[in-house]
Amino acid sequence: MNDTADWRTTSHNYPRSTAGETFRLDGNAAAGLLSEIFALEMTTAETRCAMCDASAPLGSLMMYGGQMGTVLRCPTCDHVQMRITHIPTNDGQYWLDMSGMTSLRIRSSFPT
Amino acid sequence: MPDTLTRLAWQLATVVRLIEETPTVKSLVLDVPGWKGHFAGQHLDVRLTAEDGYQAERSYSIASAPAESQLKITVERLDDGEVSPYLVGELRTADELELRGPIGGWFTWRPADGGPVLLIAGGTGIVPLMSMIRQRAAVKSPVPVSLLYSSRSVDELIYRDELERHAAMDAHFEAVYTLTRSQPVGWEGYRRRLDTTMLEELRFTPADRPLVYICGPTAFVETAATACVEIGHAPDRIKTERFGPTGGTA
Repeated sequence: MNDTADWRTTSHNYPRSTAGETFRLDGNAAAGLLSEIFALEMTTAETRCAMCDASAPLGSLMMYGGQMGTVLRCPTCDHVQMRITHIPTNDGQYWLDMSGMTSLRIRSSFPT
Repeated sequence: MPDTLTRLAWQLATVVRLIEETPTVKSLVLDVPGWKGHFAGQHLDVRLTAEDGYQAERSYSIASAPAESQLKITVERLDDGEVSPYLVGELRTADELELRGPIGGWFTWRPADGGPVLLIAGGTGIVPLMSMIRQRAAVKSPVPVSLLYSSRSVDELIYRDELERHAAMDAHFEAVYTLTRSQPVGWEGYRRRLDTTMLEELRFTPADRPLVYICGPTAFVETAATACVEIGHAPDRIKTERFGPTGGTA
């Protein structure tokens, strides 16, 4: 059974039959997962790539999702800017590797 | 503490009404207590919990306009899916559903963002774009909008009557369709997959510097975005929302 067909976007909770498969989506698809960690709206935050120095809204990064976590890559040079893994232990830990970005500029309020 | 610092929580929504859009697509009208509103283009997460505690989450784009009183999502039943067969086939009025949202500030359009706006939809990728079209109509925004909507067949076009009504009433809104697999007799729209010629024949050219929103399956979005850039649309004016698996090509 291919359970992946309606895998729509977001979240670390991938369909259980997708081990090993990878999806390519937009950074916007990581919005739900990011909202579990950060208090502010993150998809409009500007990242700066540690490899090519290009600046881009987090929602426009390329998102690769799989059983091992979520990877956000630079839309300009494909460098891995951010990796997020949720470890479902009893105290539920998020593991973030943000070494691929030099800065993250976050708006303090989401414009209305 | 301002609202922006209130973290998203899962909450129970009640199904108020189910609308059959096509044989495989339904819209769910939801009552969500305390819903704080959304922006056109945002999505929400739905979580189903099985008896054994297994949980499956999926995201669905919001179809209704922020200005509408009722919140709607539109869901396509995928026979091999885990969540959509339940939402489209099993769910009944007055049932409860666990959700959180709204989510995602990037792929959004507000009337104040201006335009012109070029919307490109593949299949159910029309859903978040429909929220933008509905919002624009609800607030009587003068921003000109052009929609290019690709579907396999005429039966699979969602919201077609409503789109035609908008187009008939509003000279600043055009809806152009392409049917890639089968076309009814007398079909006057396009009959092929999206290409650069099709984009060039739309009302807005790159010289108009439209805001471009593309939503659909990953392959469709990538084809459309590449074609847009090829004919000269500014990459920084293009926003994309992909969905679905890519077949492990990453």
